[in-house]
Amino acid sequence: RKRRRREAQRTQRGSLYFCVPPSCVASTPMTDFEVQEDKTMYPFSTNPEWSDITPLKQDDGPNPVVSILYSKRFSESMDYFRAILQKDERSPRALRLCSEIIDLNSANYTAWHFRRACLKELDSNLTEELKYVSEITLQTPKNYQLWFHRRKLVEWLNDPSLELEFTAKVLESDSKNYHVWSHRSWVNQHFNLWDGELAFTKSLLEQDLRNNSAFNHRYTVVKHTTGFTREVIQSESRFVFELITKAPNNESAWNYLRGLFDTNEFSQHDEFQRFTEDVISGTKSVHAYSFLVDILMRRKQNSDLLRAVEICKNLGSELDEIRVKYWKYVEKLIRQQIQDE
Amino acid sequence: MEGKQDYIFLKKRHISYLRRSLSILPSSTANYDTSRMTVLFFSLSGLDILHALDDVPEQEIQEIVEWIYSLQLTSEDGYPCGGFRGGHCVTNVAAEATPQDSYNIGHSNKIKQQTSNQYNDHQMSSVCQTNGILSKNSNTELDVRINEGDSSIPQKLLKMCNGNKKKINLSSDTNNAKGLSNTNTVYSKSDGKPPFSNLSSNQEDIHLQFSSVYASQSPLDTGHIAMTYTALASLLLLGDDLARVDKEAVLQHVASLQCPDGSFLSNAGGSENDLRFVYCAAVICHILADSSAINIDAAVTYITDCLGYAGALGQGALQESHGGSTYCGVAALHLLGALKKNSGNVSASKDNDATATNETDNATVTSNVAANDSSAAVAASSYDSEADTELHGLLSPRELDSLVRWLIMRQQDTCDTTPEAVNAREGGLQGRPNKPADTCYTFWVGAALKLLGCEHLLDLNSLLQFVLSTQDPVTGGLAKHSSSGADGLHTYLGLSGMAVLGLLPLQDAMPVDPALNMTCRAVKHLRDLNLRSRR
Repeated sequence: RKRRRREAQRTQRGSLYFCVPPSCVASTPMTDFEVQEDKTMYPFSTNPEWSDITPLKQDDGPNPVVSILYSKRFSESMDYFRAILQKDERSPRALRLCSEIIDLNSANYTAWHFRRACLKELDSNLTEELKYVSEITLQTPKNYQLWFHRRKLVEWLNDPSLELEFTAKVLESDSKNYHVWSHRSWVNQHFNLWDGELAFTKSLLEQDLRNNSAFNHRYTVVKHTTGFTREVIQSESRFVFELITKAPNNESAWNYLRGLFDTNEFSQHDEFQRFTEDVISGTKSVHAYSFLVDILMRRKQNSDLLRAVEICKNLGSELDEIRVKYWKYVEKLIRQQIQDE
Repeated sequence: MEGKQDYIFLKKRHISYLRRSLSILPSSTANYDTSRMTVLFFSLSGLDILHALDDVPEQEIQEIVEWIYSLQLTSEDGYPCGGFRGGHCVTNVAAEATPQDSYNIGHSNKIKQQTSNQYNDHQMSSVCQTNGILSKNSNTELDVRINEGDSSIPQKLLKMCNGNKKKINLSSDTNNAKGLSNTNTVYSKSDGKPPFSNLSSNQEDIHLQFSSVYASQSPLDTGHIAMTYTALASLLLLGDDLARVDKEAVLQHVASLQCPDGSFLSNAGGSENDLRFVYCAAVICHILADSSAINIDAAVTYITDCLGYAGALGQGALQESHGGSTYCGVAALHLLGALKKNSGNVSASKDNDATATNETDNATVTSNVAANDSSAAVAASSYDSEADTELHGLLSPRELDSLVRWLIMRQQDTCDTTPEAVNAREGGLQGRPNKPADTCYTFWVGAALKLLGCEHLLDLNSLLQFVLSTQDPVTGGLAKHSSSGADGLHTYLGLSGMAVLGLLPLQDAMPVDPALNMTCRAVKHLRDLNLRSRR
């Protein structure tokens, strides 16, 4: 019960973007969500540092809807934030106020933007700022504004030296965090930093060979470095073969294999097919069979296509029943292809 | 599945949940403060799906309409680059304009009247997205080349760029061009042609047209593309005629957010750019029946560049294929394809015939096409591959096959054993391979398949049972999986997903248009408005 309520709170606190947050919920830890006691400036009304500021209340109109029951701290902090914005005061205390707002609502992009304005105006130490962002990352690791801000800092500093280590660290707590991978990928590309990336993906796949993000990153790395040459496809396919042998129905691995296969130039169809046939002789891997269907469909010879039809039938009726309609559909496409020949 | 009871659809509970979120949200939802408009959309659209919007009193409807319009930025109020905000966080922070610094916070919400009179419509419609480029201490690599003697370049802007002729250096940014951050890039749209002919090429000198009107505007209190989209959608749901929408300002706002690589930012203060906002832009242009604000070709290029090796779309080029971005890309291609087809063609109505028909095994749904609409026959067909020529022209048959395969594979055939999704029933849809099933992908993956004419290939029964298992029987609403708490996003997308796929009987859920994510009733209202405005 308690766990369910806690989960509910966690969900509702999550950083929201109306669509496509890779996970719709920010995994905020249940520990203190507040800025620490000794660091907060709240309550502002009795804080001498803020005595010169008249707070500016939100004007939500006469009949607001979807009204949030702001906490007292939230309301007051925002009132002072509005006042500071109105003055366009880009001061140290304004910067700290931005931290408060970010702490209360990390999705407030205006606070992040004003924060950047303050940083520029004050000619702040951006390395310190990067440290601040790093510190709060684990509270809201799936927040778009936080990662955008980080990117800006790295651009301004023109210094990626912390990024690979930092992203690796965040991935330790969630190895598939989309934002983290995007950021890392951006760092690689923007600064042309590719050394060790392949090994990095390998180590992650050693920890979890079902890490789809690690596979995707690997593809990106190869694409940007060696490219998919004959040799690379050979070594990459060996790499994937090994992982498939460990987990024969791992879709992520098969997708990567198909990605190699589709590069076309050096598509060693025979070797790929041999491997796949080998797998299915030992286990009933849905993804192995479906890859075989793809290979056979490329062949265009009737015997191959007819075999593909049989596999589809097998998938639909037995191996992958949940997709029976899909495999019937594929079967139909293949039959159409046979007819067209 | 033996021994497992079928779940009941708790329609009344969900209606209560949505009605509550229409009025008050608990303090734990403070993260939604800048995006209340989206919560409003979820609530209204969710209620509409459940046939419960009509039960909202007329007075309340009017109050909601007023609230939405109160968040609009109009030219009349001094915001030529308009759109809608997500909430009233900073709407009353107004001050004088001081345009020299792009971090021009809170000080130029109102532009100087004389500036706006200097430039003609053509210039006004060429908008430059500046984000840091004109700041005093710009660390960006980009300089600006201005074509001297071009009278359309405002003097004020020349001064801002130090009056010098500088060269735009794209080489440092071309690495970023494909799908990555372009927020420091100056961009101009003109003549509907791509501003940069080849994003992966070497340095190019770009001649730009700036709108000084925009450049002097504050990046603080601006519209947000997702809030603009959900505001317009919400107005349609409420039966509003959009007469009070400052269409030009909205289009200016959208235009100003497009990046050189064709993607979009969310707001003028700067943000990430990805497929989500491309989708928002496409819907906005569709609702306003006007594509002049965007460079469609560039947007389409961006979308197709998002196709990954796995067969679906990531948020940007080479990014991991993902259910949400796949939906945004496929839906945007559908809408942009239609827009492109109909641009300039006043009498064509295909772009407004986006009706969905849920042709399920056990129900035939009549499309909500107006009887006197000449394209009724075309519109009445479901989203099947043959009819969707726009999409087909943009993706190859093999790409389409891979896309369908990837989407169909999102359905889980085993019970998830990850800690988060323990006890999740099989049949749910996941967002990426080897991730737990999650209710919201019922819409993202389901609607994408619907647009590709392949939604019937899913195991709809087990999907339905999964979604129903995520209902919260106490509060109402739906959660990402059965061990989580309900929230607005999952509630709405769970309902909308079920509606798009025709998983619920018609008396429980109205059909939903897969590209516009609104009921067919709302889409019909939109079509009626657009037809009316053409006369």
